[in-house]
Amino acid sequence: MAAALHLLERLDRTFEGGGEGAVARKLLSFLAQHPTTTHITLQLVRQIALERSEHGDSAVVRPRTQVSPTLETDAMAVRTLQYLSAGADGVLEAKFELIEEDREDLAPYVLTDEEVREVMAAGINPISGEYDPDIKRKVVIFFAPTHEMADLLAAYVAGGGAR
Amino acid sequence: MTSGAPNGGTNPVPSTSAGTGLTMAAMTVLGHHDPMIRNFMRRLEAQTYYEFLEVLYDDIKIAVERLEQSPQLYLDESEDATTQRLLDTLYGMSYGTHHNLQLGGNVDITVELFRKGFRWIGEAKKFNSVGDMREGYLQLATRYKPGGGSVTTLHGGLIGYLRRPNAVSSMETWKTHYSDDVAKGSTLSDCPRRGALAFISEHAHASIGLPFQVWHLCICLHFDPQDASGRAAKRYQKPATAAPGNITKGGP
Repeated sequence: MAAALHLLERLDRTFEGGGEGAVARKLLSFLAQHPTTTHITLQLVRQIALERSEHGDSAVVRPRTQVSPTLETDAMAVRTLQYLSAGADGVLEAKFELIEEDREDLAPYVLTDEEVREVMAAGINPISGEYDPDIKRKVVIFFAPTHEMADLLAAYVAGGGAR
Repeated sequence: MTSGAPNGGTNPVPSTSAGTGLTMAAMTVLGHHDPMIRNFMRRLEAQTYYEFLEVLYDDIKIAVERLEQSPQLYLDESEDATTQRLLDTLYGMSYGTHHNLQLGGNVDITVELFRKGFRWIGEAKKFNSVGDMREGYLQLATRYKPGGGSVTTLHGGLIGYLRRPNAVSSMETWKTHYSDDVAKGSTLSDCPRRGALAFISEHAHASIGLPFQVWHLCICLHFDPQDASGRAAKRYQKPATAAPGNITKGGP
């Protein structure tokens, strides 16, 4: 429990009481209720943060007037996910998958570290092996819970969850 | 919240393919908007110690500028508390950070990319005189074990929290004292990130024998508003015995 509290307190301190702490608490509550979640996407975080805002329980800025995602709320969500991925005790790990929207026959393909580097450095599509000028619009970042997440969630639930 | 994104903004989300997901392209757009996540991909993709160092130094610059935005909030803060603020920002960028990690002594600042095995250390000092910086440098160069990950050059940082006016002059004085008296024969070069508020030195590490490159930089936390409300505010008034701007070369 101390680790969970420390992580959230440090998050509040880092962002000086901004919305990141609320986003993190809502995300942890969601994961505690859905412990088999393996794909934490930006869409999921938006949904968790913004859906509740419609009921007046908001993690985002201006909840009553702004319920659609904005650049600012997306940046806040990413800052939160990035924070939860920090250091040796990070509870999330960033991963990448290729989604070819015009190829319904292809399932999302999770990239290896080497393939991510090739996308970044040379724009190589890992499936075709060819240069793809649109590849950075096809590679999606998502976050996966680490083993430390299970410990954190157990502590978080024991501590009463979101406040 | 001082991440660079004003609360309450209503800018539309960046146009992306792959649904409305967080594509690499969308991350680039968000990074332009928010310095805290600007270097997300570079941190993840750093494969060499040099790449780690380049992105870390860019991120330290962002963290330093974040501190400098609100010096009035840290007027009487202890050295440790300011260091913790700096480390919190770097942790928020997903670095592993430690304050007072034991590496031959209690190292003020240790920053790691844990999964890559890269480590960098720094010493932070209240920069009241060049004597403070000299002590910090000697701790860094002779007591601590430098960061791991490079086999050709060792790297570290010396950070001064400066609450006196004219930071450029203070850094010039430290630079002169450093090259004349502290580490004779060292090579000095300009800092492309912080300009006259920093410099880079290189000197053989006494214990290891490899070149030891140190980034010397100050964080400008001086706050002395001269407008009417600043003059009236008791918290900004200097004690009667204070001697601002007095630099004692080689003094404690």
